[in-house]
Amino acid sequence: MKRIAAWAALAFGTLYFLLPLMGMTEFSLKMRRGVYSLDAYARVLADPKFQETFSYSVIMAVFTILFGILLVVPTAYWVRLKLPRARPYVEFVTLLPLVIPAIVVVFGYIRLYNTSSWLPLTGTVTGTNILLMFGYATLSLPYMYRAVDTGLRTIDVTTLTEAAQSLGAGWVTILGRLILPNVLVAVLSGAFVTLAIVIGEFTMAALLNRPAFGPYMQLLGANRAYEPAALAVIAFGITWGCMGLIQLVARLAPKPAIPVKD
Amino acid sequence: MTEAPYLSINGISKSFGPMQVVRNADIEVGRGEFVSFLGPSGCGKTTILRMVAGFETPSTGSISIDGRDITYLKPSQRNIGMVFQSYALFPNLTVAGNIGFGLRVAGVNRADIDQRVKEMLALIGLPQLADRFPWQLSGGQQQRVALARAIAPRPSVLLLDEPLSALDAKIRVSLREEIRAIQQELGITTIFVTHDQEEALSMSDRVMVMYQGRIEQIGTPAEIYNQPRTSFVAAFVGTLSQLDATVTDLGRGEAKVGSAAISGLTLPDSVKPGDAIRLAIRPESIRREHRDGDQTLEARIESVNFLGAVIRIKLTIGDVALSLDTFNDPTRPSPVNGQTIKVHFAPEAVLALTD
Ligand SMILES: Nc1ncnc2c1ncn2[C@@H]1O[C@H](COP(=O)(O)OP(=O)(O)OP(=O)(O)O)[C@@H](O)[C@H]1O
Ligand SMILES: [Mg+2]
Repeated sequence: MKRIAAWAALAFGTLYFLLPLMGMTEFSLKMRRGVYSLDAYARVLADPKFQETFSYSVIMAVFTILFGILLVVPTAYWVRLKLPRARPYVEFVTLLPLVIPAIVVVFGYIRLYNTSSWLPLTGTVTGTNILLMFGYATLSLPYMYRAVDTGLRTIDVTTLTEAAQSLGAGWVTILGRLILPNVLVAVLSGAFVTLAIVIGEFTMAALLNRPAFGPYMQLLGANRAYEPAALAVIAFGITWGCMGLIQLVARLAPKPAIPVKD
Repeated sequence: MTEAPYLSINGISKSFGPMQVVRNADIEVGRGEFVSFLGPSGCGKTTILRMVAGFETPSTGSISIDGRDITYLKPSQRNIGMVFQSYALFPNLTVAGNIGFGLRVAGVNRADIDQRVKEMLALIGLPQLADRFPWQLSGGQQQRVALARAIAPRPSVLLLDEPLSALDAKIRVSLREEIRAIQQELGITTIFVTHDQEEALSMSDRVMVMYQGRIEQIGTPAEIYNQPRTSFVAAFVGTLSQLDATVTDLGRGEAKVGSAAISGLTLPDSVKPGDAIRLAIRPESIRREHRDGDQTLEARIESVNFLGAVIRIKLTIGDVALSLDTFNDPTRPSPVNGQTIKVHFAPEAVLALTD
């Protein structure tokens, strides 16, 4: 009896997720009257705006990931090594982006860094891009931090650090040659989540007026019928591709060499 | 020590908050000497070692190596090799990568690193494992690699913090012999922390016994075992039976245990007739056969423990329990519980303790 209920719940959940997806996919294939075709996809992929915004977002994602790694890995490492008692508070701070709406963050940015402020980042394109990258990094912080922190838990940070120090290594060597390689899998899974977030993000990019993929999707959705469905399927595919990569990377991860202790 | 000490630890203390865990410790280690720190858990052995390595800063006192004050140097500037209980190999590097790490950090060129790594692998007897990762090694192999990694950059001092306690008994014994052999071959100044007295006594040139943050005694293994200077050392190292006694005659070195008098004892200078002292004796010093000059006490057999080559007999004299080790002799009747026997010992083998 319990078994049947469990299966029923699973079936319901599956339908709940899959039906709209199937409907959308089916719709995206119906651009040509009467037959299924990939016309909508061809149209989308051929659109120079698509290529522009998509590559812009991918580049932004790459920078966001690099920035996130530089910010999060040393921070999480330092907290584990020197401030273990501060861990819950740091974790709380990293969760704040989940409760503060992106629109609040971006308005804050615009107020703080507008052209008449002490640091007029919004005055130039590069400045605005940097600001947007900070915004993206903030949005991905909860995932990035969690992933890296979990990765650090699998190694004995304190002892490895001391071993490296006694062998003459400084902080840069320790972080670059020992800590980062050992949490690389965790970092990569954080990176894929970041990629997925950046590709789909709308609010920040729109308000900072940058040609990102999110606003493009929105624009297309407001003006066309079939293409947005095709685009949604593509975006969905990218996201799931990222998820798959996370799984793959996690499976290829080397085993920890020392007994895991926390 | 005749020449100047190589590593000298001068009056260091360490407090964590209100708790003083190392109290005014003075230790001098000669060049190439192997010194063990021995003591019960929590006595401060690791803390002293970590101050030498630079992971903790002494609250007071100083540490110098070869005349150079290193008290406030960073760990990475001390050129000290460290081996940890948990091995602490770098999981992302191969065995060769681990062993060569210190040299790479120091900017040694590739060819010299490879050469040195080969040497080290031969030294620890694992030349075929260069390309393995740590998780592909057994505990004993990992600790050997950790040792090689620590000595590859030719450190001035090698520190080992209970390197064998995570290993099982057999490997522990073989690896401790190996560590000692390597240490002697390279002539490397070494401090070895352990709470296993057999390890400390069998490996070391000198042993330092610690208790509650204080150094109780520093001496050769034989001195520590045969002439313990405090009752803690006497009780902690080896098995020891202690009898309460009263000093009766200073000239003859006589004290009374119950109604039986024992003479020929070496009494501490500070005692007077009538003082209470404790007589301590090791199981292997008590015999069932009488020899010239022996003192004799009557004892009752409480239990007999057959250990193979040795029989350990638990006895009581009055209400004090003590034990006696005797070789197993199949031609003689074995001792029986409840029997009253005479036991003999040389008065020189008795330690008279006042504290
Ligand atoms: N960082 C620290 N903060 C506070 N107390 C500490 C710290 N490190 C050690 N102590 C305390 O100092 C005392 C001595 O510790 P230490 O690690 O030197 O003992 P040990 O002799 O090495 O013992 P064991 O044989 O268990 O390793 C212990 O009571 C321990 O709780
Ligand atoms: Mg310790």
